Amino acid sequence: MDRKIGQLSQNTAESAPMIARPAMSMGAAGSRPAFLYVSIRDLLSRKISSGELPPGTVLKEAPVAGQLGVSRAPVRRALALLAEAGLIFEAGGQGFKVGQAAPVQLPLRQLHQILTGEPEEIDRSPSWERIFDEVREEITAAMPFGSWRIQEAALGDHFHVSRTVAREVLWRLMDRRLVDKDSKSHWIVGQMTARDLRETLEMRALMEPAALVQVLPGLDRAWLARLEARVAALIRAFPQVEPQALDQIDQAMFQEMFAGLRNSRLLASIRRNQISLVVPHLFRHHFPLTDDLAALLDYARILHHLGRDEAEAAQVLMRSHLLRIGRLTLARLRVLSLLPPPRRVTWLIPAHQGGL
Amino acid sequence: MTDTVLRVIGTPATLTPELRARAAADLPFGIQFEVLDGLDCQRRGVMAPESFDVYDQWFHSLDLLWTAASIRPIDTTRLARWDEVTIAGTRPGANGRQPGSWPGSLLYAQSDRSLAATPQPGAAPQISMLPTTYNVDSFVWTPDMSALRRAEEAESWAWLLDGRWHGRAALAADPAASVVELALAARAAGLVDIADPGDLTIEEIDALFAVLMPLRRSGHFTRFWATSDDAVRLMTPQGSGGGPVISALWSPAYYAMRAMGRDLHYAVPGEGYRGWHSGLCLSAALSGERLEMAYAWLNWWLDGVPGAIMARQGYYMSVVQPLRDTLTPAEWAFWYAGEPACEDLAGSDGQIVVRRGERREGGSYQDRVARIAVWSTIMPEHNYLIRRWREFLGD
Repeated sequence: MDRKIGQLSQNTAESAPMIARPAMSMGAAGSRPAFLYVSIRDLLSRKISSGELPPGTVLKEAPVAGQLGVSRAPVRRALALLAEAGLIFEAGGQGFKVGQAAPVQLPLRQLHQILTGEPEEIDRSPSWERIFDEVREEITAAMPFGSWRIQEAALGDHFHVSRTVAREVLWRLMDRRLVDKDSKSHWIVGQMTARDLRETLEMRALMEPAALVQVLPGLDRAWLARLEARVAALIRAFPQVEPQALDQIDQAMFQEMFAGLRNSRLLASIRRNQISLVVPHLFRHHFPLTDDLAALLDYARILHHLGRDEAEAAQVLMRSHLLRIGRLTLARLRVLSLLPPPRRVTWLIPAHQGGL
Repeated sequence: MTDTVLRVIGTPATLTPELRARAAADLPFGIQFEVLDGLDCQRRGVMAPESFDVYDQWFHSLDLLWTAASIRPIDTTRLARWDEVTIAGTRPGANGRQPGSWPGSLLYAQSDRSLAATPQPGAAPQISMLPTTYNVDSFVWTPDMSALRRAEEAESWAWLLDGRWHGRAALAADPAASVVELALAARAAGLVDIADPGDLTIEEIDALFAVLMPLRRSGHFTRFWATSDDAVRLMTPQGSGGGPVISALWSPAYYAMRAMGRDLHYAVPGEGYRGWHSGLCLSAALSGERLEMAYAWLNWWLDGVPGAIMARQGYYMSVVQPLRDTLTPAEWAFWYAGEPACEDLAGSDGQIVVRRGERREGGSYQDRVARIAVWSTIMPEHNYLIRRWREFLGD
């Protein structure tokens, strides 16, 4: 079986159209990163540069997470970023190792001392912001696979935050229509249905072209030009492109694009109706990217006109793109039903009885 | 003779022992058959295109494979009999919206990779799946049931849900067939309002299962069968105690039981039949020698012998003339023309499945096809439906 069964959560934890924007992740605490994975990445990077973690040291997700008292997901992400930066390398199924030297397993006690030698090495302050994107990502990844109940207390435990913070996150997700409360006041993630997709895509086709005209005057031209160049590069390289790169383009086209909307109600409505972005995101991590080329070509045309201040042409193209992808998105949802459900997380439990 | 082997995956409905034996004798290369049940076959088709060369299954799964980019378009110029291919008696490309997955609606690949009912203008047609065999299905009922049935009571899908034979009704496990049958049944019984049994809304799905779950829990249904052989086993229980008296059934199972001498009625429900269509797809991973072999396999399928093997288990074929030339006049008269058998007729395995004087239920193939109420389908709300269905099966 060549297709990536059972890797859903791994893939989705690392990048997504609806995930954090690292560049904007600075929290309220001054220079302290708002996201746990950034803190962990910085910590490990410091320890590698200082030589405390010598070349060859094996770094595995579970022991690092255990010693730091955090969940595995942010560690996984931090390790991936360090690998991308060339500080650590895959150690053949043994996690990662520092530099190119032969792998060395540090005793756990020593690893503990190195990682937690200084107080406040990493930011573990309770903050809904810090975990919001990760929770959202887990939830959206589970949506095509049934209805789920969220256990508030387990969610808090999982992320080492208080129940108040967990609740804060869930209220905000409810505002995005990603979670709901049932008649017994349980937090519920409803199954994504074909109707949800059809209706939200109709809403998107009404709102996003209109929003495009509103944001165009304020859009950073350099940002637009860079985005256009990225899309062009992907079209040239297609199909030799990474799914993550396509996820990032989707995020730029439909999320960053509208971030400057002055009409906050319009912006909120747009965000509430973008669940259809989850489908190509999940799909392209398991299946060939074949049908994403047509989307890239649509984006290239839209960006071309935006770059020339031709708002109306861009608007028409955006609308026709959103109408075009309807049938494909519904077909992809049916295909997703053949995948095994994502890895279980303790705080998300299947809610039987489909019609909640 | 080459060492390369063509890998065909499909279900027992078409990959019968007779077809496999004949293919091995007729074709100049080796063929490896992998016979799976319908749902496993679909999963393989979607998840592992490298693991097969030809996919032989139902049209309603086509959209899954195409969307997952598991299959490649078929060049019709490489099909010697393409001009003779008809879908369930209709010319390909002829329009006609029919409930469920009408095979013609997704036949032609377009340059933007969408599928349509008509070819892309300006070039030789590229198709997503080669239509091969098809049939119309309903259910079977036994003499045990006749005793409980009112005289002259018309055959209806509603019988599947009827409490008079509580505990003795059976269904297929594949929701693409069973859910449309149950939708027809619940609508005919006046239990659920359903606008289109081939495209249920969320509310209709919930309403349908609100009827089905209590029936299931109270033991109305015996069990759910996966293949024709499985259905035959279910319908012929060992020892004392009766098996189901009513069951959704495919024609190979019906004729297999007729060969055993079982007295059974294949129903012509007032609400109409459920239609289905099979076809062949080429794996996206095919190239070179294997691709040539795959086209040879497709062409062989249209040549008459496979169609005749299918006809002797009650199936129809997309290319008629070579099949008609292969069947005896007596076989053609019974299976296709709907006339009384003028002699005993054997099934593909040589057993007598039709006795002289018997007439096929529903009449000629034109008459039977004209009574299709809905095609087997993977509905738009499949993703929602499948979870309700698994719950219903008791997973």
